[in-house]
Amino acid sequence: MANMVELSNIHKSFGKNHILKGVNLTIEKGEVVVILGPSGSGKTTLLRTVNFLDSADDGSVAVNGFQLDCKKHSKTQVIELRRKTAMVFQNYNLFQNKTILENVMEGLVTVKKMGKADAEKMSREILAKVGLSERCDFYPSQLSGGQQQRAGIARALILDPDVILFDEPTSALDPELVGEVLNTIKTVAQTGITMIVVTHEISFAREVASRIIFMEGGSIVEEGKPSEILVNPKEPRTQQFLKRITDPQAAGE
Amino acid sequence: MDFKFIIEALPKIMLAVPITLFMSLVSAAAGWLLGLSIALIRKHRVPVLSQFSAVFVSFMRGVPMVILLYISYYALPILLYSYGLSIGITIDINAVPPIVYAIIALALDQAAYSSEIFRSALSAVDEGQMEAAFSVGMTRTQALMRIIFPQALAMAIPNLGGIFVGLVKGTSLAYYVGVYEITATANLLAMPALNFIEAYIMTTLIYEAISFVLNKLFRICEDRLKKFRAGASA
Repeated sequence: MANMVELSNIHKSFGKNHILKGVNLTIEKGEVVVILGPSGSGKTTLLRTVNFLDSADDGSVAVNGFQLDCKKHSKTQVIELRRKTAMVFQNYNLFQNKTILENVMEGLVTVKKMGKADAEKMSREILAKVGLSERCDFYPSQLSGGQQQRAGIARALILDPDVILFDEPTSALDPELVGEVLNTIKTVAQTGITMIVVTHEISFAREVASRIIFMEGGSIVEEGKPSEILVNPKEPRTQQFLKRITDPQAAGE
Repeated sequence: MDFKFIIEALPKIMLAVPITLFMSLVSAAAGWLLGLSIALIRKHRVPVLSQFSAVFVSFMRGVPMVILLYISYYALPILLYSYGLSIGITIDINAVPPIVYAIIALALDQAAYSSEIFRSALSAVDEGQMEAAFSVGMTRTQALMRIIFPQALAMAIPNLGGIFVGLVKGTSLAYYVGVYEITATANLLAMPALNFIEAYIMTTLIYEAISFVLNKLFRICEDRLKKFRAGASA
């Protein structure tokens, strides 16, 4: 099975609000899929159904061949699925009571039952890669947003997941800090790991994505290579969205 | 002032300090554990148990401590005895020291009050912390023990310190059910020569001293637990 992630007929409602209306999505190993779309289109919810932070009402999710029925599954199955994935959050969500080093070690020690010495060695190496060697013993509250997010990426990477989910990783950052985080994500993308990224950064999508998915109103409207979607979108709704996001004047209408 | 009485009685009253502290520590440990469970039950809206907890907390807040002690001291043994008979064993109620009933009453009281403290502390921890713990593959128990509880405890500790000092003072009510802690001992010693003023001044000073030390201890705990909220200072 070359398919790394397989979402079939995903439905999700919050109360009366039908957020996802039967989404199907197949992602192959090593793909970097960027999901674009206006707010409220369901892109973040779709991402969160992959690791069951939001459990879909109907459909099925499969990660690296491990398939789960959204209606019928056990807690242990959900945990097993989550252990095949990792997530980078919009608000970083670093463990506030742990240092940066402990944040990265946590998954290895608690979930993978690795010895502390080995876990620390690995964690220091990966923190060096994201440029945080000097910040290992700091608490999240002592770091800038950009540094916190890079630590968040390290925490996800170290678990060696089958797929990493990025939920608007730069949306909460000050503009001058966006670059450092995007650069870190680009480096991660070059390692060949499967990634799903929800973002508003069009230029980043153009550079990094192997496929772009445009969502609106709870469905996938259009998908394809960045060169197709960003340059020659076929659907009027995609055209409209891209126009609004790339041309601030039009957004003011 | 009868200084001779003070000098004679003080060491004897001091001997009762460990009993007061023992009662406080055991009731706090049991009560807070129950309080934390109640907080979790109510936060996750566990059916039946959640409603039961709400009634329990509301009831406990309304009942005077002395009455609660009396209920525990007079009613509990009868219940225990008849339960014993129903399963065919005769429980010797008189063998149970009164301090046990006092601890049960105090622990239930602590459970009710601490549950509200834990509930607000738990809801003050960002939802994202649990999600992050799930995202790295932790179970709910692991997430609670390693991520959520430490953060909630740091927020709860000042209020817990407050109710603990209140509990230490509250143990003086155990006098009514015959536990010879600080207040009861002082009273007993004061009776023969009616040295009540001296006795009460001594007990006041002893409670003040205990409270002072406890406040300091809780402050130290708070600083330790909150070290992660150091801000950008380091």
